[in-house]
Amino acid sequence: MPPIATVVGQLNAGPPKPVICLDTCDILELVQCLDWEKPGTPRSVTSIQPARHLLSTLAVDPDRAQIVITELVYREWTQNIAGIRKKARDFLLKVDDLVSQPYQAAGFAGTVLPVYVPLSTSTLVDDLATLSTALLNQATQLNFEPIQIQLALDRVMNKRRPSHDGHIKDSINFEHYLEFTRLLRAGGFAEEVVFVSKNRKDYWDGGIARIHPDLQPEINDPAVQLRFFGSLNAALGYLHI
Amino acid sequence: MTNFTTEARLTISTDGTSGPYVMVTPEQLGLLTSVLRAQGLPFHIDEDAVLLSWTPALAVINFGPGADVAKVQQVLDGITDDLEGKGNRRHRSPSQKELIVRGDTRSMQQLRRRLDEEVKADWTRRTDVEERFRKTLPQRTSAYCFSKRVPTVGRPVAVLLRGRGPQDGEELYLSGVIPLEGREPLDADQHDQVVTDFRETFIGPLASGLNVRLLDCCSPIQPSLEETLSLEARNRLQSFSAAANKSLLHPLDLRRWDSFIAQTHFDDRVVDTVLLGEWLAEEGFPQELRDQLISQYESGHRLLSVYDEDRR
Repeated sequence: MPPIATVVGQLNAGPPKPVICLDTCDILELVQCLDWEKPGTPRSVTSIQPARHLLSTLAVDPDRAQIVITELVYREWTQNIAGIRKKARDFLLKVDDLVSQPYQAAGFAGTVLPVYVPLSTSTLVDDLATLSTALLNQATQLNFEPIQIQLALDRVMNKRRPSHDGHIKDSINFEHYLEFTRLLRAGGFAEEVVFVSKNRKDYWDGGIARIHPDLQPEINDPAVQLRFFGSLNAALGYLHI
Repeated sequence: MTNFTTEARLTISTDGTSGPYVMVTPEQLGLLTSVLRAQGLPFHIDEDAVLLSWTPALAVINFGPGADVAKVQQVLDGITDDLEGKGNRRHRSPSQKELIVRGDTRSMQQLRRRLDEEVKADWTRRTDVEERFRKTLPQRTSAYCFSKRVPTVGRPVAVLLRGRGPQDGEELYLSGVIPLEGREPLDADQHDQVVTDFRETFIGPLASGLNVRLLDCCSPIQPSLEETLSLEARNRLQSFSAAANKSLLHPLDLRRWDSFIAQTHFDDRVVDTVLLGEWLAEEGFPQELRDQLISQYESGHRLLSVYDEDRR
């Protein structure tokens, strides 16, 4: 894990390419989408295709974009992926269980239904976990920086977004990405730098996928110029990837 | 080329060595098979033949070697109107071509050997890309990459091909078309031109004489608005549109719109307002009303979010 300055140096010295900073939830979502949003309402699976497309693009042209995560994103992903995989498997078991009910009814009624292959026996969860891992492994990590941790703590103390409700993790990511972008710009980096997070509660403007007004001045600062997107799909569209 | 959007005319395909076939959606399957039976045409169904992104699996109806192709096509033409009614009635987002190569295990093994061994004039094997591509796929998934400057597109492109299905042996599908020059992505037409070129100048000739089928399909580039909504939100949106006065919204229309907004908030779903605007346009809402409705959607959703946050 290199310090921020090292990553900045590599990017400024290398071929020009846009940078995509990711939040943990956007990488975990590739597996977490196999779950219920609310009872009876499955989560959306729209995050998978953009991630697949980005990885395919980077396989063909590694210089098309640079994915960046913080050390915290990596740690959070590592801590949570096993539980999320289990939940995804439970979700498929539940779906299989639901489907078995009309099949039982059909048996009693003498109705012939098409053959149903249980989803829980498929490799779907493992395949999605592979995709999520591939996205994580594609990213360059930014090492923890004590100053950014302190700034994040200040946000918690002062109840400043994204730590307005007292949690520090989002502020750690946000402070690292702000500093990372600031250093890039100071070194003359002219490419786009985008931050993607589906975390509506802490970053979004209500339910709308744009940065919360409290955070807008910080990312729009001429010395920073970090663009925010609520989904990877929207970010890739903006970057023409 | 056979086009499998449900509105399209169904066309019998004769490629491969296992006889003519046609692909249909699950919704079309029942009607078509009953008509084929009534006409006394023998067939068998491969119901899990194809899985497309964002769409249900397509079924393949096989007619077997020696089938009367003209007669089958006549039957297909005769029920096209009925089949359209059985298709997906949802609004459609722009689609692009997909290509799937499917065959029995032995034939697919032969095809893979040809992919490994035979060089096709214009296409270059890109093992460097394959190595990176394979790292993003489940273990033991086969991955290929071939590149070429496609004349109709005017740019060099890379075509990614990967295995899928049980034991990774039964199916190859074209999973990506990526330009090798310039930053602009290919538009849908250019993407389709590359797929056609790859089919006609590379994989088609390579599969010649093998018992494999080249299944040409169209699939949406992204999910439609309805596919991103819960069933209840979809019902509320459709009820609103069906009842709405599309020249001047009535207070009851606005109440139904509010009900849709509330449901999407309750579902915790993010609605893409661009897709929502396009959906409203297709439903016949003029620009002024669309702007008003989208604006109300955004402000309503924001208000509900703030309300939730303050109550926490």
